[in-house]
Amino acid sequence: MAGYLMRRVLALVPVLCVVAVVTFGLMHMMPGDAAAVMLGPDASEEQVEALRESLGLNEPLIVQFFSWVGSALTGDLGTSFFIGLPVTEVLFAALGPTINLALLAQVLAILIGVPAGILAAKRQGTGADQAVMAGALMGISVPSFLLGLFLMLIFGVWLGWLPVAGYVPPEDGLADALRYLALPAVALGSMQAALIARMTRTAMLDTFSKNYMKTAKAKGVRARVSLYKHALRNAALPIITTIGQTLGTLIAGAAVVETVFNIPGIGQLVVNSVERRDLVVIQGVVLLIAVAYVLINFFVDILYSVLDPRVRFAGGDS
Amino acid sequence: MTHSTTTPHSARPDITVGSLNRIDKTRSRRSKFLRRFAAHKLAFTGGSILVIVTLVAIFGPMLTPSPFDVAGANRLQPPSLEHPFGTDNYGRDVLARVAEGARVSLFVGAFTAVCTAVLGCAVGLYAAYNRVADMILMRISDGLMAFPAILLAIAIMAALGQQTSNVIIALTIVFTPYVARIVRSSALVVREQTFVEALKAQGASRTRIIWINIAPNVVSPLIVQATFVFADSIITEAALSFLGAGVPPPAPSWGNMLLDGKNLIYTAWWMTVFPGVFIMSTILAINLLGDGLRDLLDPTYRSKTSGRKRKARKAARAAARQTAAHQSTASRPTTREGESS
Amino acid sequence: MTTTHAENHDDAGSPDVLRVRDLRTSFATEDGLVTAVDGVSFHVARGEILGIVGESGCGKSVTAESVMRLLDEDTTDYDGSVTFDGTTELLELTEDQMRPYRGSRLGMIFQDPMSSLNPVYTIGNQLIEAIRTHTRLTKQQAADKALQMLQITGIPEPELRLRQYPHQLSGGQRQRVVIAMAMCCEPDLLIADEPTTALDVTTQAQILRLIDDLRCNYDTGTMFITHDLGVVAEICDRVIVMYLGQVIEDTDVHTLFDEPAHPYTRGLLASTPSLETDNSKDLPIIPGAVPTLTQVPDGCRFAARCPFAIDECTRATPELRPHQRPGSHTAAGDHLVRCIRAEEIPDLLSTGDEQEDTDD
Ligand SMILES: Nc1ncnc2c1ncn2[C@@H]1O[C@H](COP(=O)(O)OP(=O)(O)O)[C@@H](O)[C@H]1O
Ligand SMILES: [Mg+2]
Repeated sequence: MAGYLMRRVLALVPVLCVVAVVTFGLMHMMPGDAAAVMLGPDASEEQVEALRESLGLNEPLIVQFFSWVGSALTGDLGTSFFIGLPVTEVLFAALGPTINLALLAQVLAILIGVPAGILAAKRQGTGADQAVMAGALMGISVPSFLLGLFLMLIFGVWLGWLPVAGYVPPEDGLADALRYLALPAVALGSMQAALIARMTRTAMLDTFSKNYMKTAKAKGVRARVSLYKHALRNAALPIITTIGQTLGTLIAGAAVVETVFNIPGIGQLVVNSVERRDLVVIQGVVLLIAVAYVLINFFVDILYSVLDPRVRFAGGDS
Repeated sequence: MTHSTTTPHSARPDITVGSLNRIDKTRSRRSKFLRRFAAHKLAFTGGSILVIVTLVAIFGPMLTPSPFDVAGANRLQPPSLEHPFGTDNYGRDVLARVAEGARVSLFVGAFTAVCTAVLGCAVGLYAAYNRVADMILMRISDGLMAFPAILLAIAIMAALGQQTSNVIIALTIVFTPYVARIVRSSALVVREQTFVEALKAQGASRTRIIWINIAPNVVSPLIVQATFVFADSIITEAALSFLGAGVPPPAPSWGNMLLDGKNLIYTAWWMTVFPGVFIMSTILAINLLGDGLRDLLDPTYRSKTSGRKRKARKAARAAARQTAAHQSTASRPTTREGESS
Repeated sequence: MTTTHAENHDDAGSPDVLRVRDLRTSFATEDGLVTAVDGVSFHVARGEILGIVGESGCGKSVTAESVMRLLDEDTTDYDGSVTFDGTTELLELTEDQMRPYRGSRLGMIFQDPMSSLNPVYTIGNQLIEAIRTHTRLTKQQAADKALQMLQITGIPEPELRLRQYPHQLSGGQRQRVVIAMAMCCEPDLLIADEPTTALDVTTQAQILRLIDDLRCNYDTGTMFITHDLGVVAEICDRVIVMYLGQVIEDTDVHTLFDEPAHPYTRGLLASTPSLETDNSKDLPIIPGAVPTLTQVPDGCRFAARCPFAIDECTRATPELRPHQRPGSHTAAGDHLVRCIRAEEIPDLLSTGDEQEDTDD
C-alpha cells in the first residue's frame, strides 16, 4: 500500500509540470505584446510599460516561469488588473456556487445513472435496456447548456414552475437554493448520468460473464444477492473511475451552465474575464481546475485501492 | 455539454485488437462494407441525418434570404410562411442564419476532426514506436487531458483572439491527445505482432514500418475516434460561441445564435428552439454514426452489442419449435437459424 | 479401485444419486442453434466416482452445468431428464425450487480456482456465504464451520486464510478453498469440472487424494470431469468417454484401460503417457481436430478422424450399444460403445500393427 501511494504521488509530478507549463504558456501564446493586448488599443505607451513591469514580462521567459510557479505554490496567482484584487480572492469568492451546482448535478447523475445502468444490464437486450441506452444516447447528444436553455424555456418561461435565473446560497434557505439549482443541476447532470449509465451497464455485463458469478449461483445464492453483492461490488471499480474522470469536466461544465442561468460562479468570472481579456484571472481559473482534476483523480486512485484488495495488498503476498 | 468534449473518449470502450488485422482494402471489401453499413439501421439513420444537415449547409444559404440582412421593421417575428423559423432582434431570417450556422459548425467540426486525426495519428504512431518519444508525448498528453476541454479552449481563445481559425486551432490542441492515445494503444498491439519483427529483421526503415505497415492497422479506430471528435468539436464550438469566446458575430453560428436567443427567451422562443434542435440532431446523428462505425469496423466490439441476446432468444424459440417437430427424425441442430430471424 | 459400484445401477431402488437420461442441451447463438450435449445418459451412485473424459470442447462442462442448471436459461434449452436422488426431476423445477439444491445437495468445483473466487471478498466471507445460504447458523457458527472445512482440506494456516483475499493464496490453496466451499453443506453429489487441470503435479495428487477421502467420508457421489486419462485411472470407478456432445463409450475403469472398444478411446489412451511407454518416442496423437458444433458430420461424428472408418460409418449415427467381445470378462450391458466396428477392431489392429511398424 505504501509503495502504491508513493508511485501514485510520483506520477503526479510530470502531469503537474505539464499543467504548469501550459497554464504559464497561455499568457505567452498571445500574438504580440500581452500587456498591450490586455489594455486594448486606447492604452498609452506608459500604461503598457507599467503593466509589462507589473506582470514581469520584461524578464527572461525562464525567470518569469519559475517566479510564477514559485508564487503559485505560495498561493499567489497574481492580481487581476481589471478588478484590482488578488486572483485567489476573486476565485474563492466565485467558487461556492460552482461547487454546489457541480455536487448536486453529480449526486443526481449517480442516483439516476447507476440504477439505470444496472437495470439495462440485468435486462440486456430487452425493451428496458434499449430505453435506457436510447436515453443515454440522447443524454450525451444534448450539450448541457442547450438542455439548460430548453429546460428554462419549458419549466421557467412556459410553465412558470421554477425560476429562470439566479442563485440563492444554501445558507439563505435550502428550499429556495434547491429551487434555483434544480434546472441547472438537471441540465448539467444529464450527460453525466448518461455516461454513468453506459459505464455501469458495460461494467455489470462484464462481471456477469465472470466465473465467480457462476460460483455464486452454484452456491445457491439468490440472483438478487448475487447481483448486488457480487456483481455490483466488482463493477463499482470502473464506475468510480468514470465518475472521477468526469468530475473535472463536470466542474468546467458547471461554469458553462452557470452562464445560462446567471449563477455568479466561476463560469461568470471566466466569461467576464474573456470579455475584459483579463488573462491573469483566466490563467488562475484554468490552473485551479486542472490541479483540482489531477488531485481528484489522485484521490479516486486511492479510493480504488481501498475498494480493490488486489491493489491494497499488492506486494504483501503471503 | 463540456463532458462530452472530453469524457466520451474515456467512457466509450476503446477500439482494440480485433480491428487491427485488416491491411489491404480491396474494392469488394469496400462494397461489402457499404452493404453492411446500409443494413445497420442506427448507423444508416445517423448517416442520413448528417447528409440532410450537410445539404442544408450547402444549399440552404442559396435558397434563403441573406443571413446578414438587417430589417428593422421585421424584428422578432414568430415563425410564418415567409420566415419559417421567424426572425431575430435585428429582423434577420432565423432559417437563413441556421443554415449559414450549419456551414460554420460543420466546417469547424470537420476541419478539427481532420486536423486532430492527422496530428493524433502522427503523435500516436511515433509514441508507439519510440520509447523516449512515448515517455515525453504521453506525459504531455496526460497534462493536456487534465484540463477540461471547454476550459482549455476558452483560455486558448482568450489568448489567441476571437477568430474562427483560432477556434479550430484551440479545438485541435484540446482533442489531439485523446486521438493520440487511441492510435498509440492500437499501434502498440500491432507492433508486437511477428510481421513487424520480421520487417525489422529484414532491415526495413523505421519510417517505412510506421507508415506503410503499422498505420493501416490503426485506421479503423482512428476513423471511429475522429467521428466522435467531430461531434465533440461541434459541441465545444457551440459552447465557446455561446459564451462569447468562439465564432465572432455577426457571422452566425449555432452557439452565438443561442446566446442571442437566451437574452430574448421570454419574447422569441424560436430563436432558441431552432438552432437548438439543429445542434441536437446533428450531434445525435454523428453519435449514431460513430457507434455504428465502431460496430462495423471493430469485430471484438460488435460481439458485445445489445441486440445479441434478444436475437438469440428469438432464434432459440424458433429452433425449439423446429426441433420439437423434427425430434423423431433427426437430432442434428438446425443451423443458421439466428440470421434469418 | 473398486468395481462394486458398477453393479448397483441394475438393482431396483438403486442408490443412484443422479440419473441422467438422454440429456440434450442447446444454445441459441448468432450462428443458429447449437446442440452442445446431444443425448447423454449416465448415472452416479453414492460413494462412486464417475469419470467424464474427452478432448476439450466435447461438452463435458456443459453436461455438468446442465445438471446444476447453471447456464443462462434465456439462451439455453434443456431436454431429457436429470433425476436427483431417485425422485427429483431437476430439469422440471422452477428456478426458485432449484436454488436450494445448488450448493447444499449439489456441490460444484470449477476448473479455474482463481477466477471462481470473487476477488473483492475474503475467503471467510465467501465460505460463510455458502454456509449461511443453506443453514440457519449464526455468523460465528458459520465461521467455525468454515474453519473446520478448511482444516479438512488440509490447507496450511486455515485461520489466516479466512481473513485473506483470493489473490493472496496460491493456486492449490484456492482450489482447496473451492473444494471446502463445495463440500461445506455435505452434498450428495459433487461435480468436479477439471479440478486439477490448472495445478502442478504434486498439488494435483494432493487434491485428488482429498476428493477421494471426501467421497469415502461423506459417501458423496462424484462426477469427475477431466481430459487426463492418468487422473481417471487414479481416482474413478466408472468412466464415460464423450465426443462432440455424445457418449461414445461407457464402462468401468478397468475395462476402459484393458479393453477400450471405441477407436476414439484407443486414440486417447495411446496419446496418454504412462510409466510403461517409452518416453523417448513421440506419443501418437489423434489426427485432425474436433469439428465445430455448427458443422456436425452425418453418421458417426468421429468418422473423419477415425483410421477404421468405412462408408457404412457415415451413413447413420451409430447407437450406443452393449459391446459384445467374446471372452470379455465384463458383464454384458456394462460396457457400452457407439461404434459399429468395435468388435472387429482388435483383429484389424493385430494385422495392421505389423504393417504400420514396417512403414515406420
Ligand atoms: N453458452 C454457450 N453458447 C454457445 N456455445 C457454447 C456455450 N457454452 C459452451 N458452448 C459450446 O459447447 C461446446 C462444449 O463446451 P464445453 O462443455 O465447455 O467443453 P469441455 O468438454 O471442454 O468442457 C463447445 O463447442 C462450446 O463452444
Ligand atoms: Mg470444460
